[in-house]
Amino acid sequence: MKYLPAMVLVTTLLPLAARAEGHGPAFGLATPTLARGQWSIDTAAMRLAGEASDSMRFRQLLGYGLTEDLQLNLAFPLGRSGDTDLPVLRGGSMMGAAETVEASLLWRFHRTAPAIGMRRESALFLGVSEATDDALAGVEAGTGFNLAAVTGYASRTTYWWLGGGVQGSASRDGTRLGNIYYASAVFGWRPPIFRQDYPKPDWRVFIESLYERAERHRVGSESMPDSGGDKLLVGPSVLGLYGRWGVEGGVAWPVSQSLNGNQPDEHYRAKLVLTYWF
Amino acid sequence: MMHVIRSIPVALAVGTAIAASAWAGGLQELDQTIFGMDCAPCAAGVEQSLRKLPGVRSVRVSLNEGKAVVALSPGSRTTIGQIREVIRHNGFTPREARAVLVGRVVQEGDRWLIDTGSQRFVLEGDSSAMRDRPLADATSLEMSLTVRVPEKLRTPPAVQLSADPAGR
Repeated sequence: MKYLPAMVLVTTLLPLAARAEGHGPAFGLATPTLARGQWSIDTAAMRLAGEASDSMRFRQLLGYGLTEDLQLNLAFPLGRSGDTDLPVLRGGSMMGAAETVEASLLWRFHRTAPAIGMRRESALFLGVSEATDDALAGVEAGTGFNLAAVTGYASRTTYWWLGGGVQGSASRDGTRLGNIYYASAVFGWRPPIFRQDYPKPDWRVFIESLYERAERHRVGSESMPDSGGDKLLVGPSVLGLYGRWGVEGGVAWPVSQSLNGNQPDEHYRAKLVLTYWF
Repeated sequence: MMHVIRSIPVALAVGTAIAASAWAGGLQELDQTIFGMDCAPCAAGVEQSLRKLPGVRSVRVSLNEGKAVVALSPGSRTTIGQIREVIRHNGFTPREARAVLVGRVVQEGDRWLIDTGSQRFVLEGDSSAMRDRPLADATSLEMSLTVRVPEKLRTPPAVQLSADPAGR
């Protein structure tokens, strides 16, 4: 928790008004949303509970709309508590890997608006990252990359997104983190009671599923036996929007996990994000 | 085209004559339909961006109706194109609109136009509801006209007279 005061300071110093990781999924990919010249700031707390230990990590995401279809994101860690040897995973598909600074370019290359409140769109994500720790999961990490694609639909009643990507890193002193391949599917629904008009609060609920397949880390020509594996997580999340503020929370549980070697199972991951668009 | 020419003088009666001393031409109000806007921050972004345009008095954004209603000060030089550009920059699609234009009606060849001071619009269409009302000399008056604005404005921009009385 040593960086918690910094996180509190950052969120407190925000101007009085901020979008939650796009349209709101806590763990899955979604299409970018910023207007040309618009900024957003997301502060996220994520809890990872496992068989062996619990941990909390805090991340900040700054977004800027270069154009209405091109968005620049910068995500960086604010601190962590608990287990210091965290597994390498993405802190939500939009937020980047833990303990890294990640800069991403999001390009919405397809967009149609067939009706009032309705949009179909697709986007590509390209990110580069640098570890802020000497080692991630006990492995010296080189410069990382993230490449992802997502397509989706948004309306005043329902939402869905399907996406997938790969996060990898360059070799450093003969060691290399295993690639993480991930895919997400999100379905969202706005209950009738929350379909009141702007500026009244706007709430929506999601069911998210996230599949992660991590390769083993490599040290020299050897693969680390206690690394890599597959996980499929499913869980609900909720997004509340009021004016320029957004708050979202979600929990995802592994419905299946097959981890290599002697790695502790994950019990759940939970995430809370506070967003402001300005 | 003859249909248009015949109908314009009659349809001008729909508008409201304004005392010359009080007249300040321009776009007075735009009721702009927007496609693709689905969330509260989307609406907040559109609202804030539109408020930054010069001469904007008020902005009301409705997610459920998919529209932004922009009211402008008399004499504002802000154009329909500028308002639509702001909406596009927010990532949404402006479609048809209804506008209240204040300007001087002029005849140019076989066309009738309204000159708002900053822009000229070709007047098209008819107003069947007012077909039998006489109009002595519309060209000497400054009018407030309610018009329908198509999704795409050609050059010169053409608008269609609405049957709704100006000022409603």
